[in-house]
Amino acid sequence: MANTYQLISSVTVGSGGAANIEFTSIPATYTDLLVKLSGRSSRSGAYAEEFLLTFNNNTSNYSEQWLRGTGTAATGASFSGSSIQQLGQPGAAATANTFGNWEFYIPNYAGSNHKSIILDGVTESNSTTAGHALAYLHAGLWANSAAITSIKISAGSYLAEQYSTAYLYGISNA
Amino acid sequence: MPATYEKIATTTLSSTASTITLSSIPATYTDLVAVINIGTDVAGNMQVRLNGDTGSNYSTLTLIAYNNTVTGSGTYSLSFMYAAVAGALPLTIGPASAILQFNNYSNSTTYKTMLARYAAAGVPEVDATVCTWRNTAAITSINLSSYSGSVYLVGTRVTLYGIKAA
Repeated sequence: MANTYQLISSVTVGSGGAANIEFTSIPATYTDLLVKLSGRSSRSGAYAEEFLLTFNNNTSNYSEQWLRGTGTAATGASFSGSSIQQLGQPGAAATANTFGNWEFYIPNYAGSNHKSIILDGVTESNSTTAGHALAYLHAGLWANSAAITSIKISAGSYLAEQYSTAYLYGISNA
Repeated sequence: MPATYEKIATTTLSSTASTITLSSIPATYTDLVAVINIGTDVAGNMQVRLNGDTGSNYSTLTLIAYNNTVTGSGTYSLSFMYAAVAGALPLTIGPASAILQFNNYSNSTTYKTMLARYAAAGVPEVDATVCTWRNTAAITSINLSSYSGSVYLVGTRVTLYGIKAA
């Protein structure tokens, strides 16, 4: 059987946390990319805090439309700016040892078209209070024709906590 | 990740087309996953039909965020399933990406379902969709049709994977 999913690289955040999780030198030899992220933010007092996604260290031409469930309502909004935002992870006020779960699927990442990304994920806080646990589905767009060679997941003004993990897979349809 | 995904077929358009058909799907897998990266000349819905069935045998339930507004809708007894409502822009402006899942697609006793995630931030639109095809036949072909009057543009790509549980 063909091995269509191949692990390119993985990151596990160590003691003290990390401002960013990065994958660099991504080869152009696959068809699509898939990132699996489990994260937690150091932000004090927050049940959820956003991680930010950028490519090739470029901070322009990002946009997104998101759909979010808060426990009591479904809401939507769109943004454009310097990153794909709103990738919610549990913050320091969330139940200890809970981490978010996210998946980013990036088709045709090495092509010359603009890059369209499917992102879905959850935060969790073992709480029934609205807004403490969130479910997301995002459409992301990086309006840039360059092949994606690096991916940065930033914890913004805070840190990705120890034991946050990210796995980058290459998917080949050849 | 275990080697449970196997490519069945890939179509990359070298000329524009109003439909893309994945045919002769073998029954040897457990589930199917279609990965789609599309551009269209006119934004509009993406219609999915199975085994060439054009009868009113499909239903769709969608949760959609479109231009910041969230709505849910159900449509029944249609002649197709909606994988997307608003659609996509050209590939060089705002392509759309979608993942379609067909679980237990090859049995001959149950109606078939499709789960879809659709992302088109350029529109902007994001959808979570579940559909039913009221037919017990094994899925042997999947047809993707563009919104009436629009076409899929050159470079649009669809890859179908088979997933084996064993």
